[in-house]
Amino acid sequence: MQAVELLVTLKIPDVSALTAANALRRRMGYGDVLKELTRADYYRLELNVEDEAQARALADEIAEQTSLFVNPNKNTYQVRTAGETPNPRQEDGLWVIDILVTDIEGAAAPDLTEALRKRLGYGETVVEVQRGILWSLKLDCAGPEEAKRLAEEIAVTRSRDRGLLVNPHFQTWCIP
Amino acid sequence: MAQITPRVALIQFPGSNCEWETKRAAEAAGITCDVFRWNRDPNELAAYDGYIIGGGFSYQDRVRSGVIAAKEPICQTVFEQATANGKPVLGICNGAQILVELGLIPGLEPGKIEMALAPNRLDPASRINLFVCRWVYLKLACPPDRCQFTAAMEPDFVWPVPVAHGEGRFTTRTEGLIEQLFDNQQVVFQYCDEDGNVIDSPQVNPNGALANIAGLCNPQGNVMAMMPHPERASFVRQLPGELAGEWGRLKRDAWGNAQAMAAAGPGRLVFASMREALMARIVAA
Repeated sequence: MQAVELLVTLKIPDVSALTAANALRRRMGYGDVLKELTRADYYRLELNVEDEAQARALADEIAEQTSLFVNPNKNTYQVRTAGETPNPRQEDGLWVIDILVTDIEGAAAPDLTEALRKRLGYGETVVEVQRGILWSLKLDCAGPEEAKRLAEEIAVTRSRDRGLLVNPHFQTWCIP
Repeated sequence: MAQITPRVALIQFPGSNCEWETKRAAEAAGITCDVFRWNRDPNELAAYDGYIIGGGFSYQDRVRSGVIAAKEPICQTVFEQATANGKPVLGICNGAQILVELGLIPGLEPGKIEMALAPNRLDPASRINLFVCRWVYLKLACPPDRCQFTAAMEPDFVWPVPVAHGEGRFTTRTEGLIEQLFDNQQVVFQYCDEDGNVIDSPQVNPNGALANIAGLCNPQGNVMAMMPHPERASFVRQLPGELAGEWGRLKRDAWGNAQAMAAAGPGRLVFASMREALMARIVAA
């Protein structure tokens, strides 16, 4: 059993990320800290294959040929394995940190799993699909611990003036 | 002596889409209603007696329904006017989502996010969270005078009203909160069948809300968030003739009679109640 992550992004600027970044910078006081905010549709594919290479190849095939996750006219995608990308990580002197947001009751995606297994003929090779939103925050901060603290503060909505990306009453989050 | 008419601001965000029918419903109940754009000076809001935040998809529901609008300065002013001055605030559908993300509803600790209006429950057949758009029945779950938007209703009032939302499921992870809301009589409306039975089935409870909750007020009763659209049930002409009971009969009897079609539907009572509350504040002042 192998698990791979499929990240799907828009080719054009993502308006949800731009709107969220605007709210955080202009309305919530993160203008000096938050340098960039991007988002990706996140899928975790649990596949019944023997090794990582096979899993990556199958994920590429699913992304390119099924039209289920990726519309090549508007999306690009990336296949990766868990832990492959350091989180947080330094880029251009800033700290980039990813936050994965999932619905508490809806992380599993039985509709996608079933479509792959039955309609698209992958059968038992596809064990399960999970989905979420992966936000990436580029922060001007002192180090990785500060990045984690800020990421949680920015993400988790605890009051009207604190937190934006997650409502903890129906969503959960993690720094993968 | 000139007749006094209460004046409310109906907040219009980019993506609002119910402002004009809500204005018409409020004005039919005797409230002067100004559509107030979100980017006007929020200080102008203080001149109004109350506020309505209507339905739609503010900011295209980006991130999640209502949350971006809740961060706007205009909502800060609505928050202050509701909490410091006790002015009535009615949130309908997207307006309800904004009030929850603003921490006004349920408002046990104003400003704190105590609940969510989450995506509708998973449809067992399609296995996706469906947008629901149909007529449902509501039961008044609190005493009529508990809340400023229900005083004109009879106790246990059951009424038909349309819903149209993809994220309307009142839910919380705060332990004991739902029980506390019932104890406080903050649960204003519950989804029910046409006879007033509160049943948790997809036919009755369209989004899977905890305890069939369709509308909540704050502890003071001056702020209410409801997912169904009372402005779309404010005139007899808006009601479907297929409705069971009195309201369906009224619609069928009104066929071909413009005056009867323009008569009040059950949703008018929400706005009529709000007018009573506004007038009481004006007279007291």
